[in-house]
Amino acid sequence: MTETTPLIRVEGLTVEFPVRGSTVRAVDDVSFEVSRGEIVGLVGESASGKSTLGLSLLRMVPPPGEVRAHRMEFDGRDLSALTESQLRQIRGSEISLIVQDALATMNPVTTVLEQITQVVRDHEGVRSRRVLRERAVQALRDVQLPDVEMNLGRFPHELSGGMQQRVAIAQGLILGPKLIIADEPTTALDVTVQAEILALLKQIRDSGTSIVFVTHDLATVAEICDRVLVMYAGRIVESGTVAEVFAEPQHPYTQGLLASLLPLGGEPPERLEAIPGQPPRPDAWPSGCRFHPRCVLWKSKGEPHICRDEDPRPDESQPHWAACHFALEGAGS
Amino acid sequence: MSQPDASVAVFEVRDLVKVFRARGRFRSGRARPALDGVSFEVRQGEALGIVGESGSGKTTLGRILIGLDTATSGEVLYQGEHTRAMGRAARRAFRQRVQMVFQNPFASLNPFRTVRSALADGFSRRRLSRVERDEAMVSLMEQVGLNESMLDRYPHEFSGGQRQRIVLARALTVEPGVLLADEPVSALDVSIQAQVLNLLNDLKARLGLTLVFVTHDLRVVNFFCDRIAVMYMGRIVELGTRAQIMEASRHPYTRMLLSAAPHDVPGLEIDRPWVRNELDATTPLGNSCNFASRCWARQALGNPDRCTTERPQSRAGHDGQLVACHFEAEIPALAAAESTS
Repeated sequence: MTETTPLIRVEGLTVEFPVRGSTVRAVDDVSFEVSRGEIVGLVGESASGKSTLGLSLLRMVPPPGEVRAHRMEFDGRDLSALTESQLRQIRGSEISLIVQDALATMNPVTTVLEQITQVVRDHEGVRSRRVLRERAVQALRDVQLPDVEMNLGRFPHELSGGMQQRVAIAQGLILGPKLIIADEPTTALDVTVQAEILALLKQIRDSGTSIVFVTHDLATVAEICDRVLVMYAGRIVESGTVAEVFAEPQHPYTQGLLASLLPLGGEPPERLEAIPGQPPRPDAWPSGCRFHPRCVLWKSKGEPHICRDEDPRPDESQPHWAACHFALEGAGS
Repeated sequence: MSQPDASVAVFEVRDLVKVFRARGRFRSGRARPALDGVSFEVRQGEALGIVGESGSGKTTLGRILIGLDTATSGEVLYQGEHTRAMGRAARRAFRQRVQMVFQNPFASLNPFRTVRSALADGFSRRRLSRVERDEAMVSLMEQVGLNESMLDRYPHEFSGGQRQRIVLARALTVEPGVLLADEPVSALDVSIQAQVLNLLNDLKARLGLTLVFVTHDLRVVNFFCDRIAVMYMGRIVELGTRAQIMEASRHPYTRMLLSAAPHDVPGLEIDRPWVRNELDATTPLGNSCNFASRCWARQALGNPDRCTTERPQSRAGHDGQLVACHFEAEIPALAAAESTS
């Protein structure tokens, strides 16, 4: 495998859940790549499918959910062809998951030491207490946990929220994964702690690990991501580098999201440019372009039929694209 | 609705202290007070933001203000009257004039009652005929951006943003003068957050509401609030107008909080030397500045003794900004030096 091939290459990924006799597509035919050593932001509102998409990379979508894809390659291997036991080998050691509520992922009656060395025992068969301890100390130092020696013997509930998240990240890093899926890892944290965790994720990226950063918060995307995928109603509606997407958002939804981001200081606007309406639910995605019922551009253009009837087919080979029939006109308007 | 008069204080809070004591086997010798001598006023018609991180005491302060909890010591005056010593009639009026909206709109609504039934309670005092009441309900629903057809639905049939609108409508049924909003938009999607903030702004202007807005979100207070109080470990460390706090803060904690918030400019590398150490609850009590152990300015000044031996009092400068820091005059210059170094 050469360094230039993407770490993850996904084409036509769909995640379906059977609901009362029919099926609901939480993620619908998405394609993307993640390169080595980059942070890709997966941004969206609730029910956009961002978390489900993140989990589908680990094939950890809860049953009866079903993941299908034309192609799903991780580091040159076909993820969809792997058996459950092969997947278990990959999870934790090559792809690891960090979630919002770190405490909930930990066993409340095991110490930090046992907690984070569990995966080392399971995956590498290491039994030596001395070696395990050394590995734990190193992993916790890497994530800058204060007072490592003292905290090793503590239980998860004795740690502050930021320390819990550091331990969870240490656990995710201890086997040296190539990819980390971080699902809203800083949402529950105070801003000062968040700033430190974001800085830590950037360091992890700089050491060569790729990160898929799932979030609803555009400000954190601007802060740490290299590229961003904007999700709406189960689809990726815009993709590009963070610099391009923030400077020239092409999709009216992305434009709306950016306009909803409140300024930090400066004379506040009288009114916010809010996107009207509600995000749709997966059991009732609108026809055509799924954003059209809420789209200001559609309304200003006199509600053209194409938006209601036809799926936008963007040229996804472009470095920056948007799934909008009027994408290029929409930019900057 | 008469024009609100900003020179009138709706609430006056004096030296509020709240200590939560653990009982039984969890009892420990010393408890750090959740509120440690808080004084401020809420002026008529303003939106006052109370910001702080978790554990700062902001929610406890809000709860005591509206009478959901009682203080260990200190006093709260509502329109000049002690809230603890109110007679029955005054208390009843207080409970009608002061309403609240919380973060989780699902927990605030009874799942077995329709919207109509939830709203009806507030109208029962107003002696309206059935027709008048129904008309008032419809107009209220419209005011919060919902429609009449939704009146007979149950809370689970609504999205988070819609539920928050229902909670707002219910608070407005009694025609309140003051609204306490504790993280009212934190649980909502970004696009819905903007809608609800616009709605709150409209209602505030139209009904002359006084708003106390408790939140951790600096972007929200900057948009919404006329004045901002910054809390840290049970104390108000700085209080001033929006511009004073967001753009000309003289307290090192406020400065730290502002610099820690994620910016929205891609590629901008911000070094944050002053953001360090998670909240350290073991800070010595008594005659010390609560922030001393995390304070970047104290370090830059060569760790003066005064920070750990003398509790800084909030002093109002000539511009009315209250700052609880011994070295407030030096903070802006120090901050400029830190961010360029």
